Amino acid sequence: MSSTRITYPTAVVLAALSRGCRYGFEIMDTTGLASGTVYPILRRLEEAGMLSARWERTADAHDEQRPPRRYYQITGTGRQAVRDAMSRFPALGGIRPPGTSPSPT
Amino acid sequence: MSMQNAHRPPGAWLVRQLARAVPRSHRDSWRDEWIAELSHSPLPPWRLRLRAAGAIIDALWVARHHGAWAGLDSTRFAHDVRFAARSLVRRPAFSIIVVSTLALCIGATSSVFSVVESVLLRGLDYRDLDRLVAVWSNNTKETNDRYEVSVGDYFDWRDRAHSFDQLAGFFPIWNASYTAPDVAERLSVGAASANILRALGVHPQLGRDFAEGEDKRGAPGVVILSNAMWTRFFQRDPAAIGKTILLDGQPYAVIGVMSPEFTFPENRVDVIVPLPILGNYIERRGVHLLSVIGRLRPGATVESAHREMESIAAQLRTEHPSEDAGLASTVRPLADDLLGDVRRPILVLFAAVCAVLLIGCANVANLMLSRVMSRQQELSVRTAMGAAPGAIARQLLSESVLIAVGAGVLGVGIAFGVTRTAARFLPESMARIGVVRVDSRVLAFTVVVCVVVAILCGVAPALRGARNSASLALPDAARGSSRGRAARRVHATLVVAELALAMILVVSAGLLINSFSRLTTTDPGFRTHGLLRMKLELPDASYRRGRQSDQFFETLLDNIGALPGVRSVARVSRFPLHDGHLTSSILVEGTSYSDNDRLPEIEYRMASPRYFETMGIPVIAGRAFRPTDTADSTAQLVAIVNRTAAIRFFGTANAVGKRLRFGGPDKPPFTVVGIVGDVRQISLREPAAPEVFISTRQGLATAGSIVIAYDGAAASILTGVRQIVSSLDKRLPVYDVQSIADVLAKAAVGDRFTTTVLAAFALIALVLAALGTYGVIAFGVAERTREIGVRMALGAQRREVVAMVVREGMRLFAFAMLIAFVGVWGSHRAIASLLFGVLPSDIPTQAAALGTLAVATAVACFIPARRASRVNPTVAIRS
Repeated sequence: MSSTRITYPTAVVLAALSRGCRYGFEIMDTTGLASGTVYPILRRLEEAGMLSARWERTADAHDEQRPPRRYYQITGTGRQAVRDAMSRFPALGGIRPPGTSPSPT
Repeated sequence: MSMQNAHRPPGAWLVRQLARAVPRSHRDSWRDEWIAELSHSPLPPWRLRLRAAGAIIDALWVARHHGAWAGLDSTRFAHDVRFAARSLVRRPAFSIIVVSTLALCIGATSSVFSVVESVLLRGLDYRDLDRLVAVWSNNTKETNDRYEVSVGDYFDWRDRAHSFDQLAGFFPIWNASYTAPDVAERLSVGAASANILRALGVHPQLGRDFAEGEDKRGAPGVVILSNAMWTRFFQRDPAAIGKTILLDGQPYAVIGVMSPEFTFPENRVDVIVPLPILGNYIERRGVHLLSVIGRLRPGATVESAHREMESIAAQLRTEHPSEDAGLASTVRPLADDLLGDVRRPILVLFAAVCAVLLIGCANVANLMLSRVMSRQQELSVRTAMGAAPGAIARQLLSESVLIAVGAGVLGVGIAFGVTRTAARFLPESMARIGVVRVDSRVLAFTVVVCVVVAILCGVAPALRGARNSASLALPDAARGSSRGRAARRVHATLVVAELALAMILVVSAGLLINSFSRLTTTDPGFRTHGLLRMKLELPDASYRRGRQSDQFFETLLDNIGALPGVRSVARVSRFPLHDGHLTSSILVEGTSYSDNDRLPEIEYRMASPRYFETMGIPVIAGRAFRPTDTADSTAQLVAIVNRTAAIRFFGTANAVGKRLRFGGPDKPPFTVVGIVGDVRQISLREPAAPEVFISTRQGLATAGSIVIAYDGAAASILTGVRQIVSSLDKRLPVYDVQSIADVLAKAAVGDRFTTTVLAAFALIALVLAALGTYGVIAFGVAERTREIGVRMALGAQRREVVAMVVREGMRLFAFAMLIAFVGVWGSHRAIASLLFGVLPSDIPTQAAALGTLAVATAVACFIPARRASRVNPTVAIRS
């Protein structure tokens, strides 16, 4: 694992993943970030051990008549990074995946 | 979603191509992830493609982090650049030739692009340009769908149309006298409705916009200054706001100053003033003088606006049957409307300069290829010492990158110089739209051009160098080998492309030169030498129309006529080829018109008694105006028509004695007393329209041109005229002074510009193509020295050797011409609208171009051929 710099877009991506986003386009739809920003961040976070990636089960993908997606999940290291990012950028609390409603506070 | 879409979603092609850049170890996974994301997205295809573009950055990131570019580390890059620089410095002649050739081509391309950028891309700097439309009356009877709008119709349109957020009317070429202590000057005035700036989506840089109601008659006079006017008369003092200036003797309060970038539509103006400055014209629905611009409401389209305007035009036809009969409406995008005339020549020049750039690149690629072949030994040694083919290719590519960078820097310098100089020669039709300059967009374009140049010039030599070095070639092996033949094939292909492109340019330039020479030798119908024109206008505030203004002009013309060298002097309301056109509807007595008929339109001018004599316009029948043709009740109202009007409206070339009325049956009749020759009024390209003249005294003209036919020096006459005017009224400026040569030159200025620039490009293309041919033939001769020596040893004569070499070059030429004629045929449509009196398929022009290029190619082949024929057989065979 190598250390990685948590820039604002990186924090946004982490926040989106912690809120339930699983793949690149879903993160883009949630955050509004561009594809050229999101994917390199995912790669970097994966390389740094903050994310793990797995391929979707082929059967599940076939049910929807599409190829399997690559899903990302936050690791233990990543969760600490999310907490740090949230304290540094409090506005990230507002990030929600599409189709979800904010929980009452 | 269909499975087909799932397999080939939008953007998948790009992803598959990019996957090649990703290291093998990650490639499949990388590609599958992207394809899966693209495959099941509800986004529209264009957004998916946009997202797929992000894969470029992702692929580069993955490639970089997984070692695909390990060979491109900075140390090696610096080493390659240093090596390339040393290699270029060692051969200064070669480096200077290729860098200067490319610098010239890049400079020319960037210069033309600066015109494209300023006029076509940046030119109309109005907010949301795609929402702006031009709205015209459509005179269906005269098939003129860009017919100016009467002020009455404009206000009715504005009240009734719902398709527009703003509908603004303006008259772009009004003039007014600006007077201040020690200043008397004519200004170009944009007369506009109060919402003109809101319609265009711009705001004054200083002060405020016009307020609603300030364009109504009786509102206090207000004016917005152009930035140039503010600088010239107020030294950029912000306190100018609130000051009062005098225009035509009337006070106008300065309320705003526009930014330097702002250009008034259709014309550069010094000031913008609300419509009432147009005086009585704005009350007459029959007078068509406004251009109208609309800003479409959200949801409205050009088509829906057009439908609405058509229905309003139908209402107005019913409400104003005599003025609006036959009038429909046209709505079209403003950008198309304003740029229509200039887009074609600019794009033709841009295509031409791109062709020159390609020729330049082909030339340099040829030179670099020859150089690679001549460096075979060096490359072989380097390969033998362990250099990989990739390293050789990279190093050769570094040289072309350095050359492109050097040429790019020089090219930008050339573009800076050219744009500064060319801005002065740019035709008004282009200059009025935008300020031509080298800005960040032009620089970015130049960078892209340099990258393209580096690739075009460098790839073939780099590949060739790498391939040859890979086989550890010895220098001798290239001679006569398949590698030598392959190199010659590449050379030949490049030369064929150069010659074909050059031919297309030379034919196009030939056609334009031919067209321009016909245009400038067209008989305009009046004297083309010894004629001077200038403008003088009496402000309504100081001179009453009629007796007082007539008296002034009579004295003025008498005094000017008495100046030494003046043969005759006259005045005319609008000078042909200079003052645009103004028409009036006429009713010809003896012709029956139904109620729904729109009356025919005729060009309308007021002229003084000696106008036709001064201009050299022949009086074909009847007489010219006399001093007795006055507005007195006892005098008969008289008119003179041109030959076209006589034939069209009276059915005979001799219509003397016939009568016509202006505007309608209730207007007084004018009797035709003379028929004069046709004159080109609007442009040299357009034939004479029907035209009627009435006497300045019967038309109550207070403005227009003074026309002087003279012998001797124009300068002394002009000085005399200024003194006379000043002695009559010190406040009156004499302005817009031109010799007839100036008028004719200005009428052809757009054609002159396009022709000159294209001819220059064609010349460059011709020279480059000839040099390219020379280089390739010379290279072929050098390669075949031994073969030529053997031929001569076996008895070949010198002229046979010359013929053999020239034949080889001319074979390339013939092949190039076959391709070129397809290109020439393809360019017909692009160039046809720029031509006057010449068809794009003009055989003599094409034959002349073919001959010129054939001679240039033959000369280029003959020089190396002669050298080949002087080869000493013994030395050649031993070499």
